[in-house]
Amino acid sequence: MSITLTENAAKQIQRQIVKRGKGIALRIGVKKVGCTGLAHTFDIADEIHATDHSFESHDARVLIDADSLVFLDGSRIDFVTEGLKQMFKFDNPNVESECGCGESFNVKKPKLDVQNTEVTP
Amino acid sequence: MNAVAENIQAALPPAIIFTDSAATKIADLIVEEGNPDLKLRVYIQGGGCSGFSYGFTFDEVVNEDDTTVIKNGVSLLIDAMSYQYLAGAEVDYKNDLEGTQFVIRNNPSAKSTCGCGSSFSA
Repeated sequence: MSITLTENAAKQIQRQIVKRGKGIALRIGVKKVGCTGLAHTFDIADEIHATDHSFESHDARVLIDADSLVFLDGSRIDFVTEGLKQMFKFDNPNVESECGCGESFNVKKPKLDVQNTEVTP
Repeated sequence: MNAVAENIQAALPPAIIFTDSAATKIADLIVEEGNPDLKLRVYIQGGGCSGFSYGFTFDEVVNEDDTTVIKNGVSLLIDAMSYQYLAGAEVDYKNDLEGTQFVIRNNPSAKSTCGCGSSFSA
């Protein structure tokens, strides 16, 4: 199981924790949405849950629960500037297709059947 | 209000709302680029999963068919074709945990949107 952060992604996490005034990590999840099936969710976490996997790079921490990690394992997460936009960008080996803005994505079978998998409660 | 004024009011297309945060971001980028002629151009293009999508770019040139909206000394440009689909909508700048970007909100022309909201159908 591995998730890596670029230095830019780590800095964005640190900035957002400072802006919020508290927090220990960026929590990344996966939810069903959009035209290709899945999208990332982002929150600043105050605690680590029993089902969380924790990853650290460049002095920033990411928490991903076991259910979401299945979709994200092996990803390299960057924070990039594209035109007038800044955003997290996932280099995710599980992704089969993306659509539109890149917010929604689909993963390769047979690892998972998106239709029959409950991702988030 | 008299009848004539009411008719004029009804004939005018609804304005495009240019938020303070969008204007402030453009002002910051003008300083960053050192180019006071920069204006934010908002346009509609085909594409995305709902048929149309919004585009944002910087432009120095104002074309004949452009509508210019000025706020706090900075300009927003919308060409005539795009204006039809943006009348009454809000041009905003979002800065949160996930990143930063210009966005269109509350577009009365959009019947449905998908995913991140950069794509819509009219």
